[in-house]
Amino acid sequence: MKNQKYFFLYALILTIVIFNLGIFMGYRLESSRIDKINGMYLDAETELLDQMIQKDALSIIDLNCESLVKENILFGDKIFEEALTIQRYEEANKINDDIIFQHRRFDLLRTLFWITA
Amino acid sequence: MKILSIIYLFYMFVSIYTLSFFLMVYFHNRKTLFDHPEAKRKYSISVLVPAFNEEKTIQETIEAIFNIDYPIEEVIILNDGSKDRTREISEELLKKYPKLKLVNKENSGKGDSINRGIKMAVGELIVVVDADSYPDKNSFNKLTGYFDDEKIGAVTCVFTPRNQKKFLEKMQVIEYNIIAFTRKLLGYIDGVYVTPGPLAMYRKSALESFGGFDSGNMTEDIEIAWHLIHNGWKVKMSLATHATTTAPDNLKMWYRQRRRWNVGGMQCIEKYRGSFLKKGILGTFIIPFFLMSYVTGLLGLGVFLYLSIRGIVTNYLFVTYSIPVGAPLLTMNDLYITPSFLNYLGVILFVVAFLFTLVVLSNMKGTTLKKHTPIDLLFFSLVYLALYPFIIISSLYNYFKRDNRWR
Repeated sequence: MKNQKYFFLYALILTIVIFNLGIFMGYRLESSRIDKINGMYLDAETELLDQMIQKDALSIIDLNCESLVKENILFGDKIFEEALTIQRYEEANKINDDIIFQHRRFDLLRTLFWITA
Repeated sequence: MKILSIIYLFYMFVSIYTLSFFLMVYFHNRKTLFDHPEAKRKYSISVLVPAFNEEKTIQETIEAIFNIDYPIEEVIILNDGSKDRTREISEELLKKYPKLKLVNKENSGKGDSINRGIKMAVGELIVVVDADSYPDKNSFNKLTGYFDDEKIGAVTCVFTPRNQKKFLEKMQVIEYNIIAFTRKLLGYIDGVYVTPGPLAMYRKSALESFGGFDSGNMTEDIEIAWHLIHNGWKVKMSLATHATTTAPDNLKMWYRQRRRWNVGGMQCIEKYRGSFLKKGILGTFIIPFFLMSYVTGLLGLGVFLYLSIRGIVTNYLFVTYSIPVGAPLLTMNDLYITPSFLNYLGVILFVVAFLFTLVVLSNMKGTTLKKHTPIDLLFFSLVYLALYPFIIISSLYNYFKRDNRWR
């Protein structure tokens, strides 16, 4: 019977294809998570800006302070939940390190919120 | 990327490569797996039965050998200083079978006993049968045909546990079948790395060309296969030929057997290290294959222990510091599962490997899938195989301690 050592090479080629496909799909999965975080960040940033404007407006015109406090608490809860999601994603992301940068940006936004709240 | 992720990816690559290789060879040869060449002539055969404390099984083994439908020149029992009734039972058998011979000798190990037998044997082919194993009636007919090719030095076959009632024995049935099946696949690339003791047929001139078995090796059946390949002989595997053997029926014996296999494998690597990555299947495949199995086993165990210890310490600190300040020990966030892509890949790989196990068991004759429950198969895949790395640790200890006792 003919020796079939060429299967070593065939298997290697197939493995490289499957492996790279897996890495590519993994990268896409992790990138989609980062995109989601980016969306969350932009939302949060807009809301924070809104709150900061409302705060400044308070000093100019007479607005209901109660509703502003409620808004602040809701926003605080929201970005806390989002931070937990980012934390989970960060633990699950293995290839794409951009999530660390996103996490840092989000932390800065949260800090800004706590200072201005 | 973190070092753990790199290790995981390394595992993925090795696993995908191994699985791809076996699946490719399988699909290419699936129609010829059970084929065996018909012998163009009759060969004279001497059967050697090394025995050490085999009073429970030797009679049945000898009866099974004389029941084989192939003319046998002689059967030589090599009683290696047994302390039980092996000698008495063998002497009784001498009266019944004129072609049976008995050699009583001081205990010197299995390899040395077989070498004594080779010197005495008159057959062109030597068959070694463990004294607790039972070749099928048609087994020799299916093995001799391979020796028409003058490059063939040895042929091995499938063997399965005779005892299959206990859970541990059932696990070994699955294991032995997978080993036999993959050995057959390796045969297509001349990579059969062992000629197990339950039944193996050798060309006598091949064994004599380098002095026979290495009596100092713990697994003389691995060493002899490597020695044959090293000296340019080919070793083949016949999936159509079958023998049964007595598998360990308790964890202690099972553990000792596996440890002995590993120590023997390490001794072989040491002995043939000069061939590593050099020309020939021994250096380019068999030795790297053995080394890789030890490295991946140990690395996997290391990662597992690191993650377990880290988890325990982290949880301990978390609980210790959370209780005094009244922080919740469990929140909804802890219940969310966010798998990494490595988890997904791992699951896919496990499923493919599991399917390969099913393919093997559905192919093996006489060991149909019906004999195994899904729990058996899952336990085998998730727990039984995971025990291997622990045995490697213990084997390494014995290997470096030079503890070569047969126990």
